[in-house]
Amino acid sequence: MIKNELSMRQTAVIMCVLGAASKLMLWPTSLASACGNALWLPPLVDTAVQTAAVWAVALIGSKTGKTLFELFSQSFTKPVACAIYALLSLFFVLSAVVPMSEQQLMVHEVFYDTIPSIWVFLPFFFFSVYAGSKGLTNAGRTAECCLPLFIVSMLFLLSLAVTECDFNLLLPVLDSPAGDIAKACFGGMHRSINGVYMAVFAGNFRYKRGDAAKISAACATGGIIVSAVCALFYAQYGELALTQYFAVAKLAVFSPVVALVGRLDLIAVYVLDAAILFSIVLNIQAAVYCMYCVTGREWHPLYSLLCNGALFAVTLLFNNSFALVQRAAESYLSVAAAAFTFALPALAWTAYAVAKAGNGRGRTAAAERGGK
Amino acid sequence: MEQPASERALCDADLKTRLKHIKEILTSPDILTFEFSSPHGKKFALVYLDGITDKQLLGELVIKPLGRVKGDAPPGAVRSLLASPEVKESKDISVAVESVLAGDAALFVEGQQTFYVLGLKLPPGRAVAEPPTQVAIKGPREGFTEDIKVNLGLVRKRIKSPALQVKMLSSGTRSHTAVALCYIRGVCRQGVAERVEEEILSQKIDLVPDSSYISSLISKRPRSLFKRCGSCEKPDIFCAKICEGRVGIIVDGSPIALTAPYMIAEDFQSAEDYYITSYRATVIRTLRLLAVLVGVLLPALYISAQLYKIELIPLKLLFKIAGSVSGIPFSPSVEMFFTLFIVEVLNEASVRMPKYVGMALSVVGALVLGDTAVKAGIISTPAVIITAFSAICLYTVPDLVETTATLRLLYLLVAGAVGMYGVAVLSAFLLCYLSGEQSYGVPLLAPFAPLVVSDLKDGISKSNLYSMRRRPRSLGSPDKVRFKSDKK
Repeated sequence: MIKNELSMRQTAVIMCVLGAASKLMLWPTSLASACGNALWLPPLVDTAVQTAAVWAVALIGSKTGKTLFELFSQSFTKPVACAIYALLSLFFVLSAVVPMSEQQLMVHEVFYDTIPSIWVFLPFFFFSVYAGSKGLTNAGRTAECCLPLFIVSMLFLLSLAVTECDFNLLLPVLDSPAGDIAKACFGGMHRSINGVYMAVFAGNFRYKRGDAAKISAACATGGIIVSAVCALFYAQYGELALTQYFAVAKLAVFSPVVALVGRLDLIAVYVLDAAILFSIVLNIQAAVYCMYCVTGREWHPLYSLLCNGALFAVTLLFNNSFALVQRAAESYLSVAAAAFTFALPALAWTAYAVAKAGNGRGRTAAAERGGK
Repeated sequence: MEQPASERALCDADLKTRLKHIKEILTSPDILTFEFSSPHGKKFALVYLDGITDKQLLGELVIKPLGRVKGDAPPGAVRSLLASPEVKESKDISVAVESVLAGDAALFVEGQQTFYVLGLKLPPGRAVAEPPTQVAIKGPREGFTEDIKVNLGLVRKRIKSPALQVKMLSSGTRSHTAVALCYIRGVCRQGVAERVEEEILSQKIDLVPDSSYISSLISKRPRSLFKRCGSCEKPDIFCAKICEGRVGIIVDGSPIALTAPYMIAEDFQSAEDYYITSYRATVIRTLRLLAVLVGVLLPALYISAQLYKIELIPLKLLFKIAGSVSGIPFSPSVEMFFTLFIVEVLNEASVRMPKYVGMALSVVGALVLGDTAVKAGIISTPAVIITAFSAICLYTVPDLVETTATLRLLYLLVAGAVGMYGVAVLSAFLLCYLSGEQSYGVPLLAPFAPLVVSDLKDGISKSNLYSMRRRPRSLGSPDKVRFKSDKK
C-alpha cells in the first residue's frame, strides 16, 4: 500500500529545502536580467505571498484535520472536488516543465565539458517514474534526506562565495523600476507554489498547536535562502550576472580555494542537484496524489508513467526552445499559479464555512428532532 | 492395511522388536544401538548417533547407574536412577528418531512403553574465541561459535534477567536446524518477535546451513541489494541490541547471530564505539561514513571527470594524470573496470588460498600485476591508486561490503555511460528507494529519514552514556528508559 502520511517536520522541510532547491538553477540569472541589483526582492515577495497561502491552508488543515479533497467533497460535492483536483494535477505536471527544462540545461552546462546527447537526460525520467509513484510519505522522507545535503552544499558554496563578493553592487537598494520588479515577481509565481503544495499536504499529517506557524516559517526560510543566493550572485558578478547561467555553479568560481584545488565547488553542486531532482519530482508526486484522489485507485506507477510521458514529450518537442518554454511559463503558468495560490485557500475557507454551517444546521435539526 | 512402523513400535514393549522398528526408520550405519542388562536381569537398549553423542557421559550418567535396577523394578525406579540432567519421557517413536538425529540418546527399557530421551549431545565444535571480523582493541573479546548452546550461554552470561525470552524453533525440513529467538519481554516492541517467528516457521526449506539463510527467509524483499537483518559475531553487541528492543536470532551451526529490526546506521557503529570516548567514537563513525562514500564513489567520480568534466580535476593533478594515462590502450572506464577486476580477483584468491600461499599471492598481485602492468603501460598509476584506495575504504564498514562493492560497480557503469549526472540520479534513486524500505516496521534510513532527533545521539555522532538515557525511539520499545541516573 502506498502511504501518504507526513509529519509536520517533513512538511516543513519540503517547504524549506525542496521549495528553495528548484529555484536555484536559472531564476537568479533571469531575475538579474529582469530587475538588476534588486534581484533579491522578487523571491522575497513571492515567498511572502506563498507563506501567507501556506499559513491559510495549514490553518484550515489544523481546524478540520481533513485533506482539502475531503473538505471540498463534503462541502461542494465530490464531482466538484474531483474537478479541482484534476486541474491541480494538470497544474503540477505543467509546473514541472520549467524546472525540468532548467535541469536539462544545467546538466548540459554544468555536468559536461562537451555537448552531450539529449539521451544523457534520460535517467531523470527513470528516476522520476519511480519516485513519482512512491507517495507522499516517501516524498517527506527523501526531503529529510535532502536536508543535510542541502545545508552542507549550500554552506560550502556560500562560504566560498562570500569572500569574493562586493556588496556595494547591491546598492542603491531598489534602484530598478518598480514595474520591472513587479513583473519579475509575477513572472516568478510559477516557481513559488508552496501554497499549492500545502493544499496537497494538508490533512495528511497530524496537527499540533503551532504547526501552521512552523510550516509557514520554514517556507519563509526557503525564500530567504533563495534571496540570499541571488544577492550573493549579484554581489559577485554585478551587471555580468545576467550572462552567468546557473548561479550555484558560478558562485564559488573565484574563490582562492577553487583556484588551489580545482572545481571542488562542483561536487557541492552535484550534491545539491540531488535535492533539485527531488524538488522537481515533488511536482510529479503531487500530481500523482491528486490523480489518486480523483480516481480513488492506487495506480501510482501508471499515473507517474503518464505524467512523465507528458514531460518526456515536452522534452523532445522543446529540446532547443527553452526560451519559449520560459516565456510561456512566465506569461501563462504564472497566472495559473497565482490563481491556485489565491483560490485554493479561499475555496478551502469557504468549504470550511459551508461545512461548519452544515454541521450547525445538522445539530439544530437533530436538537429539534430530539425536542419533538 | 499395514500398520506404520512408528505405531507398531509404540504399541510394542518388547525391546528387540522396538529396536528392529527403530532400525527400519534409522537405517544409517552411524546410528548405533547398545543393548545391556543390569546384574538383576533388567534389559535396556540405547540408540544414539556416533560422533555427536557423548559416550563417556552416557557410560557415567546412564549405563553405570542403571546397573542397580532390579528385574521387577517399576518404571519410576529407572527414571530416578538416571543421572543425566536432561531427561525427557515419551511414547512417540518420532520423538526418539528426531532426538537421536539431533545427537541425543534414546533409552528403551524392557517391558516399558515409555522411553527416555537423554540430552547428552556433544557435537564437535571450537572454543569461544575472538571473532575474526569484529576484532576489538578495547572491550570484550569473546565471539559466538557454531554451537547454539554455547552461544545462548554467552548471552545468558550477560543478561541475567527473567524477562529474557529464548524461544527455540526449528528450521529446515531436512536439517531441523535449531534456531533460538531471543528478546526481552517488555523491551521488544509487541508483535516483532511473533512476526519473526512466523516468518521462520512459514518457510519450508530443506537445509539451513547458516544464519544468512534465515536472514533471507525473514526478509520481505530477499532479492534486495540491501539486507533487512543486522548481523554480529560478538555476544556483547548482540546483548546490547536485544536490550535496545530488537529480536536476536541465533542459528545452530553459525557463529553469526542476526538482529531485527535493522537500520543501516547500525553498520557504521562498532562495539568499540561504546567503550571509548564519545568524541573519538563520533570522529571514527564520521570517518567510516566518509570512507564508504569515497570507496563507492571515487572510481565513478574519477572516470566521470576524465570522460566528461575535466574541470573537476585540479590543474596540476590533471597534468600528472595526463602524463600517466597517455599511451594507455583502454578508455578510462574500461581501464577502471579492468583494475577493479584484478583487485576483486586478488581479494577473492587471497581469502580462499592457504595463508602462506595467500601472502605470496599478495606480493605477486601487488608487484607483478600492479607495478608491471603500470610499467608496461596497460593500466595507469591513478587507476591503480584509486581502485586500491576504494577497496580499502569499503572495508572500514565490513558488514556492508557486499552491498557497497556492488554499488561501486553500478556507479562505475553509470558514470562510464552517462557521467556525473548519472551518478547524481543513481544516488537520488537509492535515497528514494531506501527511504521507502523497512525492516519489521522500522525504516532502514532511521533515524535520518524519518528524522528522529533523539536517536541522532547514537546515529553517526555518538553522545555520552548520560545523554542516551532512553532506548532508540525508532525501535518503538514499550520500555523507553534504559538508564536512570541523578547525574546530569
